[in-house]
Amino acid sequence: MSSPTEAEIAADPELYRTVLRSWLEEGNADAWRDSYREDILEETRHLGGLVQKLFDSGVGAYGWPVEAGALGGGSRHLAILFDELSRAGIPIPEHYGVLTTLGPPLVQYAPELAKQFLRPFLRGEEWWGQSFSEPEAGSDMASMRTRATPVEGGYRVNGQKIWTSHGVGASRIVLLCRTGTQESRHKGLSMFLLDADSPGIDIRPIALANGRNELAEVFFDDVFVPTERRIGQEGEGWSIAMYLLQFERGLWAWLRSGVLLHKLGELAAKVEPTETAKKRIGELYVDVAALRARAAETANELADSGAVGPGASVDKLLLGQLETGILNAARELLGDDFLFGEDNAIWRSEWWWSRTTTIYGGAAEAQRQIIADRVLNLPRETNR
Amino acid sequence: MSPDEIKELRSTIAAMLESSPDDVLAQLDELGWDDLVAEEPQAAVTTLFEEHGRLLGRSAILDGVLLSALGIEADAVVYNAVEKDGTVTGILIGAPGGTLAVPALRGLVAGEVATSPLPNFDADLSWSRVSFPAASVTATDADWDAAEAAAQRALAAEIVGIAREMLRLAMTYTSDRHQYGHALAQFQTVRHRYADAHAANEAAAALLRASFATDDPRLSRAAKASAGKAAEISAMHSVQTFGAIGSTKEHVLHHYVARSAVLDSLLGSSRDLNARIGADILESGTVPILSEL
Repeated sequence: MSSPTEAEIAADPELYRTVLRSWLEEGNADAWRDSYREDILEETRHLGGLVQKLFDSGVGAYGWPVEAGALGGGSRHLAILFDELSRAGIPIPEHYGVLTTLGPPLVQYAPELAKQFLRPFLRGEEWWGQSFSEPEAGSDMASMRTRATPVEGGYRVNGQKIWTSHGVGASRIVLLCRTGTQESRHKGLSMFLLDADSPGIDIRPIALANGRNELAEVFFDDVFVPTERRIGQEGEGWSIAMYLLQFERGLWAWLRSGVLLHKLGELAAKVEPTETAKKRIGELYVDVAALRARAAETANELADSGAVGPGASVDKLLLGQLETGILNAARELLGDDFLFGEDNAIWRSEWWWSRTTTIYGGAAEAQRQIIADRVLNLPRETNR
Repeated sequence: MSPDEIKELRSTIAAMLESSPDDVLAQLDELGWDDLVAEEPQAAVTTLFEEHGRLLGRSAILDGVLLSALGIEADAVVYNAVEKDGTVTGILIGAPGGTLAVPALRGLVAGEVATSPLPNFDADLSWSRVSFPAASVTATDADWDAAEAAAQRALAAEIVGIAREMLRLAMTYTSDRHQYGHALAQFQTVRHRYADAHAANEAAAALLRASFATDDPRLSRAAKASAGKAAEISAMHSVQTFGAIGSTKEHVLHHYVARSAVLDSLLGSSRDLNARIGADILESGTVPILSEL
């Protein structure tokens, strides 16, 4: 059988799975099996090498349009990429998490910018930061204050963002900020793609309790951004953010469920087969399997219709419960080995990171709110 | 099956269960049930059992699922069989008599079976206790794993049907009932409980759908464990938010709470199944991967 063409692979996700799986079975990604580094910048750069190898060999270049320098195909290709990496026991580079969230809105609302800037990101040479949250606007995003004021040829941005994942080392920043009045709430927001080295941008790391600089604050002091770097129309920022959140909730849960399945296997390999361990590991497996079944349906819905409804908040809620649940089980079952010594530094570190999973992308409480309002159609909440 | 076809099937089944609850098997035959299951196992089985759960059906259709998957002629199934000092005791849902399949012992028993009434957490059910000498069981070659898995999927569907109904009843009630000047369902603590119950129910339902697509019996066990957990969560939040009325005999809620509990016990409770799945993972050192999209 002759090898399939790129167009054939782009048109047929299952063919893509076959090609990717044999590429992984050849051992091409084995050098990245143990990628944990105490320094997160070092780890992200190291994993960038895997993204680059995947992209350059072709198997990591599907799921994105040809116009953006990739090989075509849709979000199902991405879902399969994450699936096969975790199946092979290869860590999924953080790049993909951010790409999956920031890439689709760029392609959809700013195809010219995608064409111009997406390729180095797809190729792992750079990664981008998502600057939405502010000190006074966390899950309540519509109350953000960072402002872009129109000037000749573009805007001047002033304000402060916080909790930007992988902000340190990011090459570009996708910024959501205010262009309308403060009272306009979600109607007066716009989105921009900024170069992280623009004059006036100051990125300061925030060390998580595990000591790693997973997050950052980003300060904007009269930063100029040209009009052509606006993603979508002025005032369209909220709808683009909502479009983006579908991918964050829809595909991200699928990506992470594969990682969690693998993580559970690693935990199982470390613990003694006590009755407690059997029950805990078994229950967590059942929960991951259920999340995975649910997230697969959501990912398919996204691939088929290009949209997922408020039901994706169910996936997000379940995901947070499991991210924390598995690390709690590690702490409980590993006991002193979790708390002390060199061997389990990664588990300690991830335990702290897992605490953020019920916060970022809309806290678990905000997800419950969405489910109550828009899925269960309960009467509106009282302020009491 | 399209969503519309499933909807139609659902109302046909509901009408059938409501009009002739004691004659379900004959009615299913008339519907051409076996053909439908052969063509659309997931849609057919889940719809039937979700409705059987929602309408608190008491028929022994579960026996039918297990026996037809087994491909063995028998009259009923002995659940939760335990052997002690040469005597086996177990639970019978169907009518006593004839040849009984005993999945836990991978065999059949006929004759020498003593039957007695079984006090039940769900007082509506007239299940019986059976006991017989272990020596009277004839080991029988069949795909018992697959048959158990089929029955576990059916049970999971029935339990999910009950869990969703408990949640629906509680949401309806608290949307009408006013205290402190507001509907109870307007209070955040109440709403968040329902969001959690809904997430658990729909996760279980998704895993159940996925378990039909594989021959791996571990996934059917997982689906049943997930359903049992979801029903526990839905029962907990429903009973609490109904207030005292939810624990009265007069109110319907207790039927669902008790029914989901006793169904959970059949063919491995969620806790037992969790432990079994965990033991498999720890012994084999492999985690079953679900990779189908």
